[in-house]
This record gives sequence, C-alpha cells and structure tokens, in this order.
Amino acid sequence: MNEPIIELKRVTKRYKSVLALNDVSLEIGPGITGLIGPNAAGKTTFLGLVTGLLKPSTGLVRVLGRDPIADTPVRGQIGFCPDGEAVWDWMDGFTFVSWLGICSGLGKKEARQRTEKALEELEMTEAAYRPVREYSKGMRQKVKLAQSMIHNPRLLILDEPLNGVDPLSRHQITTQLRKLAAEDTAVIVSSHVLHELGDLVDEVVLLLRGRLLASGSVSSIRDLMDEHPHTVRFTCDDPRRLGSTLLKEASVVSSEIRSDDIVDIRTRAPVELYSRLPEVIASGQFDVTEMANPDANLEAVFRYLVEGGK
Amino acid sequence: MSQMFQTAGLMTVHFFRDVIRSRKTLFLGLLTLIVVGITILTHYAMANQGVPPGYGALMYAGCFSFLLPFTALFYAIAAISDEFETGTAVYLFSRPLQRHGIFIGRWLSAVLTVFVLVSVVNITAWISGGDVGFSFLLRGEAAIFLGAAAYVSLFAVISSITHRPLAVGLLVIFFWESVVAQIPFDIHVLTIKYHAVSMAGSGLPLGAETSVPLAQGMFGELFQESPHVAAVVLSGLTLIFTTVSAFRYVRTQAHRGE
Repeated sequence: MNEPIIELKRVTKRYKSVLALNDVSLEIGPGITGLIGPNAAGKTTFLGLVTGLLKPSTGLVRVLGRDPIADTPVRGQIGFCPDGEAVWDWMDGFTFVSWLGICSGLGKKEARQRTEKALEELEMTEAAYRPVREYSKGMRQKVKLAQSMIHNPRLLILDEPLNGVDPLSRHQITTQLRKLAAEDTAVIVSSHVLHELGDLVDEVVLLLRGRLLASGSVSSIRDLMDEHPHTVRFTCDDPRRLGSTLLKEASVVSSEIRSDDIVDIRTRAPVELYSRLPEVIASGQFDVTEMANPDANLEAVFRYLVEGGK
Repeated sequence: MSQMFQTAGLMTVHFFRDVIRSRKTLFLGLLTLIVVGITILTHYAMANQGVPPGYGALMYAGCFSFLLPFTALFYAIAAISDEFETGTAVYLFSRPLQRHGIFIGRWLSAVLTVFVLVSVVNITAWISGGDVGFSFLLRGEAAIFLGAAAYVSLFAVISSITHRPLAVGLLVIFFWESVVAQIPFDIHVLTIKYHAVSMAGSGLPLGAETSVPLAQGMFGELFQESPHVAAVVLSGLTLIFTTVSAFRYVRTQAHRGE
C-alpha cells in the first residue's frame, strides 16, 4: 500500500456505556474503499473520527498524517457527505454548495464557479435555484455530494450515499465518484450492504459491532462472503412461485417462505444471482416490490471468522 | 487569530440569514410589536388618568421584566443548540473552521438580534415616557446590550449542558429572575435583571412628572448599585458564562454516531 491516507491505531470510541468502536487499527490508501457493516456496526462513528467530528476515547487517528481534530487546516483536505436529510432547508441548492465552499476556504467567486461546475456534472443545474426542501432524496444526495467535493479534497467521505436513491441518481453519483477517484481523490463510501456498492469499490473494510471484521480487496471479501449462503429477501406478489423459480438457478441454495408476500433466497454466489435477477423476474412476470439484504449475512461471516473458519 | 475572526464573520452572516427566516423570529418579532403596542397603550391609558408613566416604569415593564430574558433564551438556544438538533452541525464542524470562531460568531449574532428587538421597545418607552434626557436612553441601550450579552451567555451555558434548555431557561426567567429577585436579604444581587435595571435606571428621576409609584416601588430598592458597578458586574458575568459555554461548545462532538 502507498502512504496511507487514513491511519487508525488501536482506536476505541465509547458513548458512556456503549462501545461504538473497539480497538480498531487499520490503514486506508488511495482509491475507492467501501466501509461495510450492518446498522450499529460503528461505520458512522468511524467516519466521525476521521472527519474530526468525534474524538477517540483512546487510540490515534491520523488523516494525511495529521490529527483531524487539533489540526484545523487538514479538514480543508477532507470532503464529507453525511448520512441523513439534514440541510438548511431555506437555502437553494446553489447557495448550499457555494456557502459550504466558502466555509472550506474558497473565495466567493471561485466558490460560485466551482458550484456551477459541480452541479452541472451532477445534472443539477436546472434545479440549482430551487429551495432544498423541495428536492427529492436523490437530488438532496447530489447537492450533499457537490458540497463535499466543491473544494477538491484529497479525501472524500460519503456516509450511505446510495441509501434510498433512485437508479438514475445512483448512476450519476457512482459515475462522479469513479471520476474523482481517477483524478487521485481517495474516496470512502459506507454502506450496510456490500453488494450495493457493486463494482464501485476497490478495497473493502468490514465492521461489525464496533470491531474490524476484515479488510482487503473486494474479491477476497466477496470470496469470503460467498463461502457462506447469502440471503436475499424478496417482497413480491407470489413468493412461492418466485422461490421455486429461483431454485432452478445454479447459484441458489435454498428458499424459505417468510410470509404471504416475503421469501428469503439463499445463495452462494450473490453476484451471479444479482446479474440473473432482472431476466428471471421479467420472464416470470413477478411483481417484486422490495429486495433487501438482511444483516444476517455479515453476522454469518463474523461468526465464521470468529468461530474458527480462518 | 485572524482566521478565527474570519470564521466568526462567516457564522454571523449565516446566523442572520438563518434566523431571519425562522418561525422563532416571526414569533419574537410579533411579541416585540405586541410589547411596543402595550407600552404605547399604557402610556395613553395612564395619561388619561392624570398620571403618565415615566420612561423608567415603561422600560422596566417592557424590556427588563420579560422581553430581554425571553428573547435571549430563544436566540441563545438557536445559536448553540439548533445546529446539533437539526444535524447541520456536521457541515460546519467538518470544515476547516475554527470552532471558537463558530461559537463567537453565533454568540455575537444572538446578542445583536436580542439587542435590536429589545431596543425597539426601549426607544418606544423613551419617546412615550417623555421628559428624560437622551443620556438616559443611551444608558438604557447600554444596559440592554450588556444585559443581552449576560443573558445569552447564561442561556448558552444552559444550552451546552442540558438537553432541555428551553424548560430550564424558562425556569430561570420565571423563577430565579422574577421570584427570587423579590426575596429580601439582597438575594436579588444574584440575578442579571438586578444589575441591568440598576445600570439603566440609576439616577432616573422618580418624580411624579416622569414616573409612577410602580417605578418607585420596583426601582426604589433596586437602584442601589451605581451604573459603573452594574456594567462591570454584567461584563464579568458575560465573560464567565461565555468562557464556560465556549469551552463546552468546542468540546461538543457534532456527530453522536449510530
């Protein structure tokens, strides 16, 4: 690995009696890194520590070799796109992005120019002067992304940027992230589902219950995960027929009817299954309203690692 | 240091742009207008009875008893807690901004907003109250500014140490600042109101032509502190409360995690 962009040494973070991050040591380098873990795994805490929003209870956090809390200028090298809907609702998208550009040290004119460019790249020019409160979730995510990259940071951190985003916005966001990574920006993207990040990430860090579960290349983590049946939960009109149809696929291990409209499919090759799904669903004319990845997948990997599967 | 003042300037502009559109300002603006209306009505109602209330009585009732602490409470909460409550603090705290600068900018904006609102009532009271010199108006304005600074700082401390700053703040206004101030044995020196009123009202003529028994009763025992001492005490309280709240604010973790 090149010189690490992020370095954590034996970092623990407690909130009173809750242990959010437990003795985590790792280094993250350039490229796009996925931070994967179920809810309450410690992802947001990890990102809070790296962006200087949180102070570790013990241990050492370094970003570009500096302390992101004590060293104010280093935060100018970091772009952060937080999770959630919080924005100043009274602002329009353009003001939101350009004002945060000014807060990052840009002059007014430069902030305006860069905002125009960033919003254009994310195809938000038309909606730029509408109040943010009128934006869809995808549009909000895009202006949040724009504000995080307005000052050309060396490290871009995105907390669940694809959560709840429509397919078109998802495509625009991932395209933009790939472009930034190609321009030598280190990108960290958190998600609670590994396969949500698809082929976007180069490296993956897996967190579970505040502990570092594994880290490495996507393929190695996928191989690790694929050794265990991976559950995909479908909500659809005819779960029995969908279950039996999917059982014919070579990658599917089993199916389990959970309720009148829910079926769990277990597979050892999720990537293969995901690639086959559109055709199977279309040919069977299934009305699939929701597709989810229960967190149990990561729990299974965790148990596998902890209970002697290494 | 210059970076801190730059940050403070940015935050001041942002705070004004934020609060000017808020429901809080709409509500407190209306409240200010109501107090202005009551001040004018009181003047005319009492003038009809042959005892026009003086500037001191109108100022005491309109500014110091209610509006000053009340607006200070709301704007102190807006300055200190709101960004954390709404989740927008992460945008500020993850930027290369000096956290002390963020605090100073927001604190100063809150003080100025309170000062402007309460000054409207004070000027109305001075015009309605009649024949007292311009110097008393200026002293009233100075007392409002220092009182606003002390109150905002006190409520900033409360906002930084409790999750229910509004409830605790209201308790301070309606219990400590009002009821406790009436208890004998000089306990009232522990209230901000005592010092603010002392600073504004000391030397105000209490004759029938400019004041009323209300003012004499209320101010009679309160006017024991010279305006200079009152100014020093208010400044001291502001310094102490601001230091504590700034320390707490800078240490606040903008992100409380999952």
